[in-house]
This record gives sequence, C-alpha cells and structure tokens, in this order.
Amino acid sequence: MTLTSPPSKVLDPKNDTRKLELKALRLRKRQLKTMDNDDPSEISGKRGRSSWIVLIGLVLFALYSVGPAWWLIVSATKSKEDLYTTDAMWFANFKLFDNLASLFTYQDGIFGTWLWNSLLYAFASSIGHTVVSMAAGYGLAMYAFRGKGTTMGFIIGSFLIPGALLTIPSYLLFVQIGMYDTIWAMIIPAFFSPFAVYLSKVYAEGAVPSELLEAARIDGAGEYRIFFQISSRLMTTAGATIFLLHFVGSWNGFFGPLVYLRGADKWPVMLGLYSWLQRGTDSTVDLTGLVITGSLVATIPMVILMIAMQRYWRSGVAMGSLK
Amino acid sequence: MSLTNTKRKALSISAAVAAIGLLAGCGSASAPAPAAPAADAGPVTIDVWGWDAESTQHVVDAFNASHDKIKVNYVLQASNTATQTNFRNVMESKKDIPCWIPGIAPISTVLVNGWAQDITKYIEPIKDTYSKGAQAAAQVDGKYYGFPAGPSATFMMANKAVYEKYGLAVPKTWEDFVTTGKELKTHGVTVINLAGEDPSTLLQMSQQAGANWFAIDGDKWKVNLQDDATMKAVDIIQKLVDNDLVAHQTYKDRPALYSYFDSGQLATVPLAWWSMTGYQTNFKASLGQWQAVDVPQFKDAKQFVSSGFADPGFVPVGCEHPAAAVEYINWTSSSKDAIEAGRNKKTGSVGVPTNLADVSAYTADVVPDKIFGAQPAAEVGAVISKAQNAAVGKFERGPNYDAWFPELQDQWGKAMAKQITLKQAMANVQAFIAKDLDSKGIKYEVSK
Amino acid sequence: MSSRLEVRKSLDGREQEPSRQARAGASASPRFSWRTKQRLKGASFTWPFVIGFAVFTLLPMVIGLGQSLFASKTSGLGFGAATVSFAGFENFARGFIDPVFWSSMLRVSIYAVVIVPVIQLISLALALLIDAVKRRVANRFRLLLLIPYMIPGIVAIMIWLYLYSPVVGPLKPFFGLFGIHADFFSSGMIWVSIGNLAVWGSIGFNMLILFGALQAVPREIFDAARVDGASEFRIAMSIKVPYVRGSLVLTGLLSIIGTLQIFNEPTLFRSISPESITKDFTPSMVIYNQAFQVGNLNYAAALSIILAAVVGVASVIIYRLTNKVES
Repeated sequence: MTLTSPPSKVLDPKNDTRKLELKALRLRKRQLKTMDNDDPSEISGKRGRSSWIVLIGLVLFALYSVGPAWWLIVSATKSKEDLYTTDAMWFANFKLFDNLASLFTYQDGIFGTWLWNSLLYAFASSIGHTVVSMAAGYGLAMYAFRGKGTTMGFIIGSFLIPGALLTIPSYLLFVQIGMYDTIWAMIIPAFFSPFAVYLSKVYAEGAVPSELLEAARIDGAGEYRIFFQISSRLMTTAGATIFLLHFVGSWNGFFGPLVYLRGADKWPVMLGLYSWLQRGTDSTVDLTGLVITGSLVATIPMVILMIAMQRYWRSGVAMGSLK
Repeated sequence: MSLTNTKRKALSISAAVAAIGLLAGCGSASAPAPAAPAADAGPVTIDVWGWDAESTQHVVDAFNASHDKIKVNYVLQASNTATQTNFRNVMESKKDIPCWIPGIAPISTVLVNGWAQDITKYIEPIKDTYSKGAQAAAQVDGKYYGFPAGPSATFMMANKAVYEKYGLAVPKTWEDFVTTGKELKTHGVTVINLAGEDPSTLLQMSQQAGANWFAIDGDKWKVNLQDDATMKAVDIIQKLVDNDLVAHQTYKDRPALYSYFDSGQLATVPLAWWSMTGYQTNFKASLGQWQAVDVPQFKDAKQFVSSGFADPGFVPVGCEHPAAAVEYINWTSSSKDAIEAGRNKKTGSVGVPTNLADVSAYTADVVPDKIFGAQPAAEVGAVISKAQNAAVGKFERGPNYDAWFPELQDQWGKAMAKQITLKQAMANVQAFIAKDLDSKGIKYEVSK
Repeated sequence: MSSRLEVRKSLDGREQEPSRQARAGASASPRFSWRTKQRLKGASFTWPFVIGFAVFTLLPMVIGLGQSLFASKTSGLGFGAATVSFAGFENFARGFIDPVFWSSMLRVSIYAVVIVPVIQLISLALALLIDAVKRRVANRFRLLLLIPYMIPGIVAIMIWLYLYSPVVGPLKPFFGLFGIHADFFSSGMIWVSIGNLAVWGSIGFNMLILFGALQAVPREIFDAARVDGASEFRIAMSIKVPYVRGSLVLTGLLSIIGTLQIFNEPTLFRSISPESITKDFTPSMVIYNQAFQVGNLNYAAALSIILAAVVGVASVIIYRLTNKVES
C-alpha cells in the first residue's frame, strides 16, 4: 500500500469479494424469510366477528374487481350473434375455439405477429429499463456528488410533465435520429424513467448498508464491482418490481406505438386491438368479437407474469415517502 | 394511482390526442407545388397508404404484376384516424412522403393544410370515366386537388313488417316522413334514429335541400349556415325532435344500437351501400323484414336528389411521381382487373366503385342475402344505383372543417337533448366559424 | 440493519467515511484524489439515465416550449402557405384569459377533489383489509384485486361501456333488483360512470403500494396494542393509518396529477352523452382540440405548459398542506 493510491489489495481480492457476496446473499435471504414468515394474525389471540366483516369486505371488492374480467371471459366464448343477445354474465353456446381460430387467422394471422412484437418490446425495453434505473438509483442513493440535487429535482419535477407536450417534438426527434418506424423507438426511449429511478433510489437507501460497501472497499473492490456483485443482489426486489411494472406498462400501452410506428407488422398487440376497435364492424367478420377474444388472449400473459413474480409484489410495493 | 398509471394516463392522453384524428394543421407546409413533368424513366416505386386490410393488398399485387414501369408499395395503417395522425407527422418531418392518401378529410381541409398537389393535368384526360358528382368533389376553385371520388349515396332501409303492421306506406317526402312518424309514435315505434353525437343527417339533408354552407368568391369565402335550404332541413328535424318521433341511440354503444334497430321499434334506417352487410351480421329478429327504398325528398324538390359527400384521396405535396400515382388510382378505380382483384376472397363480394359514372353493374352484387327478405337483389341494386346517380356529390365544408365540426357535434347534442333549438345551434356554429376564421387570418363574408 | 425495508427519511445519500489511511494518503494531494474518483464513479451510475433523460424528455420539452412562442397565420382563402412568426408570450396571454380552458380546469379540479380522496380511501381500506387476514388468504385475494391493473385501458373502457349499456348491460337490471333506476349514460350520472372506471382501474395497484408501506410498521406495536385490548379496527385506525400517511400523500399526489390530465374517458363518453360532455370538457381535451382540430399547435403547446404549471402548483400546495397537518 502506498501513500498515494487507494488501499490496494494485500489479501486476495477475489476471495474477499466473494465473501462479501455471500454475506450479502445471506442478508438477503434473511430479509426475504422474515417477510414471508410475517403474519400478524398468528400473533394475535381471538379473531371473532371482525374477521367476518373483513372477509365479506374483501369478497365484495374481489367481485367488483373481477366482475368485468369475468364478462370478458364469458364474452370471448360467444359467437357474434349471441354476443349482444344473450345474458351478459353467463355462457351461451360455447364457441371459444371458433373465436380463437378466427382471431389467429384473420388478416393472415397478424395477431400472432402482434403478440410476438409485444413480447419483444416489453422484454427488451424492460431489461434495459431495469438496468439503467437500478444503476441510477443506486448512484443517487449511495454517493454524494455535484449535481445530485439537480438530478433529483429534475426527477421529481418530471412527474409533472404532461405527455401531451412531448408527443410531436418526440416524433420529430425520432425522425431526425432515424429511429422512427423502427423497433428501437419502442425499446430505447423506454430505458429512461424518472419514476423507476426514484423507486430504485429509495429502495437502495433502505436495502444496501453502507457498512457493506465500506467493507468491500477496504478489501479493494472497485465501485462497479461492488455494484454488480454485491449491491445488486440486495436490490433484487426493487429490480424485479421495476421490471414488472415496466413490462406491464409496455405490454398494455398503445400510444407510443401508434405515433412512432407505421407498418402494421411492427405493431404490438394493444395497437392492433385498438385498430380493430376503431374499424368497428368489418363486412365479413365482426371485429368487436375479435377484439374481445384478442383482449382476453392478450391479458393472459400479464396474469401469468403477475402470478409468476408474486413474491416480489406480495409484500406490497415499497415506495418510501416523499420528505 | 401509481405513476405508471399516471404516466400511462398522461401518455395515453397525448396518445389519444395524437391518435384520434388530426386534420387541421398549423401551417408549416408550403403551398401546393406545381407537379413535376410526367417523364418518369425506369421503374418507379411509390408508397400508397390505406387502412383497408382486406382487399387493397390484392389489388396492389395485381397492379404490380401488370405494370412494369410502376411498382406500388402498400403501407397498411391502423385505421382512418391513425392514417391522419401518421400522415400529419410525415408532412412535418418531410421524409418518406407517400404518393397517395385515401380520403381522410374534405378536400378544402387538405388544401388548407398544404397537403395536396394540383393534379389537374393528369386528371383532365381521364375525367369522363367518372361521374359529374365525383369530379366536382375533387375540385376546389376549378382545379383538381384530389382524385374524382364518388360519394356513397344515401338510400333508406324500411322495416316493411312494421309499416304493414300499422297499415302505413313508406313515406316518399320528408314532410310525409314527419306525418308517418307521428302515426308510428302512437304505436310506440320511432321513425328514425338521430344519434346525439352524429350530425351527419343534418348535413345530408341540407345538402339534399341544396344548401351551400361555404362558397369561394374570388379571394374570400362566403359563409352561410343559415340559408333557406338549410332551414328547410332544420325545420323537418326540429319537428321530428319536438314530437319525440326519433330515437337517440349512440354509435358508441353499438350492441344497444343494433339491438334497438333489430327490435322492430325502429321503422327506417338511412344507409349507404357498405353498411348493409354489417347490419345483416348483427340483426337477428328482423332479418328479412327490411326493404330498400329511396331516400325521402323535400316536397318542392324539382328532381330526385340523394345525399352523400365524398372525401377525395389526394397526391401529397412532396410526392415525386404524381403521374404514377394517378395512373395507379385510375387503374384501381376503373379497370375490370382491379375490381376483380379487390373481390373479397371469402364472401366473393366486390365493393361498389362509387366514383364511376355508371355503377349499375356492381350494385346487385353487394346486396347481402338475408336482410331484405323477399325483395330481389336486383331491385335493391337498382335503388342503390339510382341513389348513386342522383348524388349531389360535393358539399363544401370550408377551410376550417376540423375546427367547426366538433363544435357542431356539441351543438347538435344539445339540440337533440332539447336544450336548444336546432336553429339556435346553427347560429352558434356560424358564430364559432366566424371567430375561428378571424383568428386564422382567413378572409370571409357572411352572406344571406 | 433492519431486516425489513426501512422507510428512509432523508433524500441525501450517505457519505462514505474514508479510512484513516486513505485520508492520510489523500493529503499528499494527487491530481485526482481517490475520493473524487469515487464520487465520479458514483455519479457515473447515473449517466446512462441522465443522458437518456436529456435526449428523450428534456429535448422534446424544449422543442415544445419553442413551439409555444410562435404563431402562424394564413390569409385570403387560407390555401396558401402559412406565415410563422415569433409571438413571444402572446399564446400564454391568450391562454391565461381563455374562459373555455379555465372552465374545463375548474371542472376537472372538482372531479379530482372528489375522486382522488375516494380512490385513496378505498385503496387504504383495501390495504387494511388485506393486512388483517392470514397470509395465504391475503395472497389469493391480492391476485384477484390486481386483475383491473392487468387489464389495459382501452379494454377496460370497452368492457365497462358494455356493462353500463342500458339495453344490453347487466348493471341496469342488477340495480333494478334493489329498486335503483340507474342510467349510467345520463348526464347526471356521467361523472359517476367515469369515476367508477377510475376507481376500478386504480385501487388494486394503489392497495399494493399502501400495503407495502404497511409492512414497514414494526409489528411489536401491534402486539402491544392487542395485549392492551385494542380491537383490530382501533389498531387499524390509530396505528396503521398514520404510519402510511407518507405513502398516501405520494399516491394521492400522483393520482391528482393523472386526474387533472384526464382525457380518454371523457372523450369516449362524449359520444354517449354529447349534450353534457363537449369537446372542451377537460383541459387535455381543450389542448387536443386546439392542436389537432383547430390546428393551432402553438397555442396548444402554450396551453399544455400552463396545464403543467397548474398541476405543479397544485402538487406543491397539497404537499405543503399535508405536511402541515402531519406536523
């Protein structure tokens, strides 16, 4: 160790960092375990009448939330004649497979292409989005540097920017940089979300102990290494949440694609459904029926995703407070 | 609400904003440039836009197969309104301007936005293929800025079973229409549907009566939404509304609309040829009870006139091969091969080429089989042809249509809800137009 | 270090104290002290974001701002080219006195003042309910409650339009059972219909956020209260609610921002109740109308800046108010 360079590696750096990694992982496991095990109702004694009220309340809300979705499911199984003439909330002649066949063959099977596009855009943009936001939030949380306050100010301030202001200028910009009508228009701009950065920052402040960083530094790990090997392990919940939020947002969005894409073969599924909805009744196929069946098919991946990633939002989405 | 939702909302605001129909532009475009001479050496590729997902691609393929000098590339848009959005954006960016846009707006609007090229010299040699109405619709101030476009003319579908049940004849004049309506009302039947958000019946009746809301006089517009012809139409509609002879089903609640039309509680539906199949698909109980009849005339009309206006397609400013574009469109509109290629593969039906001078060869084919019951398709086809031939075609909507139409919608809605009279509504819209033209610096004069 | 997610109170990051040796080393002053290097590296984590943000958000914003400072006019028949001239703050001046714009602003503010607390209260109630049951039960319910979140906006509107329909929808007969004559499309009910859409779509997700904040409450306090004999309801009201106040404020603010800019639902419902919902019903609709129908992009840009300013001011005021109440 010299006087002019950072504390260098006397001990084997790889080994030590590895130890810290493991320490971080153990910490993480403990975090998750306590979250999972926590159950207030097991601690208390009698429950009694209050729990019935709670249960009824939950059931009512659940019915309210699910009811319209139930309509969607039921309607997707109906043929177009039955759609408007039979009881809204229960089945008639079961024609789901016919509807699915129409859905996937209409317009030369473009619905399948749309589904694939949605998947591509959502996945690619979410990965970039997560990485960029996590890094930025981490940087803002763990370090003090000039311009940090300004950056935070911009982030909070940008929550107020109305989208209407940005549409046409964004379009002009995209044309200038050659991104218009390419898949990149769907992927790259999505990387940069102030909200995700904020979320990530708040989480990092809570989940990453500075002692760990300090210990890693003493052992000679560089900042980037610390981030990639240690801190990110501790921030997986935020990462997964950010990924999930953005994935759903990207999957469900149709505005961006509408303005920034042109050819129908590049559309994501929501834009495709929107176009069918706008076109109304076509001459041979009732597009409303297709939109309904298509909506159901397009919603299913979201449901699967939410179920698969339950553990990340089961304990709620921690957003911290604005102070 | 999470920020995702907020951002979604905010974005979908501007989304829908941008998406649902941008027509009037702020003028950053230049005046229509003189078209380049038609000497195109070597094969030329042009982009053609449209929102039809069914037959146009086949027509384009057929064109490409039979023309070696011109290659057409069909760019499918999400919808009519998406086309408007995207086109507007393309004109702003001035890159990749297509060579053909189908009718997305009245021709004057397109011209005001600086979107359309003057293609008079390409149209002159071929114009007689097309009906007078189609020709008129494509011209502004004597020059062709659009391609001759035929309106889809209005005729009527009357529920014969209902009329016969109450021993009434289907009315042939608008005045009789009111009288019959009063009769029907006593049996709980409405005579026509006037949707609260859709003033198109008013425009069509005004057109039928001979109204001219906008006219060009030298270098200024003459504006009059309250002329005698319009007031004739207003009078009839007001009577219908005052006496509760109309239903107000909205097109947004489509299932309710169809259900109502189908129920036997509605006696007459005005329509154009392309709506028939949609009605057949969605009707159940009333299939076979309908009959195609002529649209009612005004009592003192000198000749049979039907309504319908066309929004012509145009060749955008910035397209470098207008001759090729015109050749393509002319071929698709008038050549037998094109019309065959556009035949719907599943149903075998072909659209009615509404801009041709004579459409009688096509009208019987588009008649669906169940809805008109015993009435032969040839007879229905004759009704449609008669309407097409008698269509006025042009209905000048002025340089700021996109600004005043939403205002008319608002005023019409209020009139339908009986909050104001239709006459008052027209006065309000006219005042709005005056204010808007003032703010845009456009010269006009309110005439009487 | 707490094993739960701690709600951090400060926005500042934490400085890392360099070790004594490093400090000693730094005093020998190389050109870049390692501390500066560390800060630089820390900052570099944010650079991808900052650059992207500048390009994709700030840059368009500046362009949009620029648009608001110009005006375009045509002449004669309006067919010629429009002349674009610098208009300074004319568009803003016009916007500040525009009665149509401000009446729409008032309308939407009233709606926001009503609907946002409703949404917050319902979301809070949901979060408390979820918190009060066993974990397994809670998990099942949570998934069901999130279904509206998974359904995209246009589909949701389509579904509810059908459900509201007086002719084919099931809601009219359903309410008829209770003797309530409900016409969701009438001008009296239209705000209720729109509000219901907003509530349905957002309570699931808001519940998640509030529930997350609830988890930060130390469990020992509950146990102590229970031992003292407090009922679950009392605990909920006196302990849980105050603890999640911070999150409530945050989600409330975001709700207000979104609601003040509402566009989709009124636009859609306009066709259904056209005598009540005009084309200028909400500020966003005014902006849309100006930009794309009247064709005055410059004025529309100015109006959207004014809208953003109003939203910003409202947010600051509400934030200050809730802070005052808290302290």
